[in-house]
Amino acid sequence: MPSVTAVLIANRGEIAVRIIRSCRALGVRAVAVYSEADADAPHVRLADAAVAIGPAPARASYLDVAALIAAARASGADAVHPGYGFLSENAAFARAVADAGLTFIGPPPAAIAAMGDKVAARTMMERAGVPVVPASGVLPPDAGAFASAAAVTGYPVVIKAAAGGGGKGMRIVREATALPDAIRAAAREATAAFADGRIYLERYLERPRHVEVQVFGDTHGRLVHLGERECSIQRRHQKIVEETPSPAVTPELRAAMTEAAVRAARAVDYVGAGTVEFLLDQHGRFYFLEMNTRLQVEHPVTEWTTGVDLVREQILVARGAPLSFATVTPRGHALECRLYAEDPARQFLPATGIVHVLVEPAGAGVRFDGGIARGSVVGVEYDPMLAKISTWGATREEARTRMLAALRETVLLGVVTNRDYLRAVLAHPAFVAGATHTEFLAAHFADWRPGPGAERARVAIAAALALTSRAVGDSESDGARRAAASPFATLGGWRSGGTAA
Amino acid sequence: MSVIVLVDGEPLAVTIAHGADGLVGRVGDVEYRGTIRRDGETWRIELGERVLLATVVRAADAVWIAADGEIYRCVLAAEERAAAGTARVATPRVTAPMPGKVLEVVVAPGQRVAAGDPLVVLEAMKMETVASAESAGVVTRVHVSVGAMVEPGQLLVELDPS
Repeated sequence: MPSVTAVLIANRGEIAVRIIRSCRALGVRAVAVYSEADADAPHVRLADAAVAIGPAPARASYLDVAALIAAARASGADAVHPGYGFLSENAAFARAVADAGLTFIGPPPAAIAAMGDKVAARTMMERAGVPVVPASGVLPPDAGAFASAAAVTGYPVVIKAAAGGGGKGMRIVREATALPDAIRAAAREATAAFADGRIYLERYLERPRHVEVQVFGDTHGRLVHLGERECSIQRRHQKIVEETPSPAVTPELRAAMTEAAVRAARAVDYVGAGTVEFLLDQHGRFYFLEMNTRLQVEHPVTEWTTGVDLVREQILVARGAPLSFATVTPRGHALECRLYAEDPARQFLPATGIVHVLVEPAGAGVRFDGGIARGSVVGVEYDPMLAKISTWGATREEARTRMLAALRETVLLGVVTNRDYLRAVLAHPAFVAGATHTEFLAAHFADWRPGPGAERARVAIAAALALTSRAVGDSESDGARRAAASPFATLGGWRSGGTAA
Repeated sequence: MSVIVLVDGEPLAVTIAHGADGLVGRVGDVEYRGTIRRDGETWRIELGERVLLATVVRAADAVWIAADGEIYRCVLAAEERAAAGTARVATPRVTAPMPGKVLEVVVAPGQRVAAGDPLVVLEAMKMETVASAESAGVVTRVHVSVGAMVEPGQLLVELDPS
């Protein structure tokens, strides 16, 4: 059996911190790695040992396979946990780890590779009997061929570029008469954008929900699911709010989706934690999207409702142990919000700065997974996700109101975040009603601006004093003032820049 | 003291005078009397009937204030005008809309561009943003090269609108 006594965590930020915590609880040594930009980061402070792996750009550090394996060897680690992102779905990295005589805490490289090729994965899923979005394959650009294909898939359809991506060459068609124009336009756009005019057709899903199933396999052939998560609230195809269970999934649908997810994972002999993503249409039909062969960002909501520590389970399974549970019985409802360094009022532009103040939410049913601390520099090198806040409640409404309280309690000063945007989303009547879909933010929050704060007048007076005083934020004068008898310095007779106030 | 403070972008005219037993603050037409006392980052703002225990920190040109569950970012209007002014001089100057790394410089000096043409592609974290020409012109200078790190407002490209 592979020994896992010291784990090198090939990641940074909140997920590195989160993995270190499970290592420590298991009595396993946790070895952090860090780039020059992360020398003082929380994951480095929390680990049992830390190894510098290179300069700030990820490709020279967190994506440098040779540097990571050398760090594992130098630190005496016998296993590697990739976290999510970076090299977590890189089959070559998983192989390199194994070739170095280390245990990769994740699925077999063949499973990563099989699910990594999205076109081949779709074909494989079809063969395994997992539903996929009905599509035509590449067709000649004539209306007859497309009309026959659309008759099979059903309308509405979307015409797409075979070489495509990013919406280029895409045309939504709701009836046969609109096909000729759409075919011409799509082929023209595809040729212009990709120098490849091949086009095909698939069924267009209107306002689908993103629903995914957590699966877990061990090396003894057992493969189980841990229920679903709904992650429909997305901006730029990135999730910002997740929950379990999905408000749209009935017990019958859950049985069908989880069964299909387990079948998908079994088709690639899956071991460890994985997620099978589906799109769920308005008629309760679901279609395979892709499988993420790693731990997901949003795994805490599943941990809340199942009581399973998924990272602990990953380590145990990597050691060759059988799964610690046969089935799970989810309890209550959990929500997660992702705190991003970005400005939702300015097209989600990434924000940078220094974290001057950080107040983490706490209390019953509240969890904060963070990778930042006071003094952390939020730069442009890495993903702008700063932390995740998750809450649990006996009901969805209890989890939701708890989340609103937790977000209110979360204070980060020095960097613009999406905190108030998240509060607005959680408070929206459509969210309260569970009427969520992947176009939710575009439909309800396209022109969102933060509302004026209720105390802005008093705040403006304090700000005027702070902005016109050289002393504020100056630690030396704070120190001098601290030496004075009164705990509070009165600012009534404030003088600024030598001018009488 | 009389200043314009932008509170989350909203300009508020603030006047502060020293009163007999505290300060007299005026925001627009509303007067607030009381005291503001501080212990490091913790400010006790007693103005009118309300007492706010606020956290106040200064970061570069801005003051961040957390009070009553809300977060406020405040800057002096004069500074905002100065910063905006650098981007609005006689020759069209294209500046970085966000901090990031230069991925691609699309144009070279001497090149004629139309309004909307891409000039420089920036990347921050996982996102790409294109800085484009607001009006037609000829590129006179390119101030950045591929791989350079830029700050928001930093000059990227100058155009001659002739």
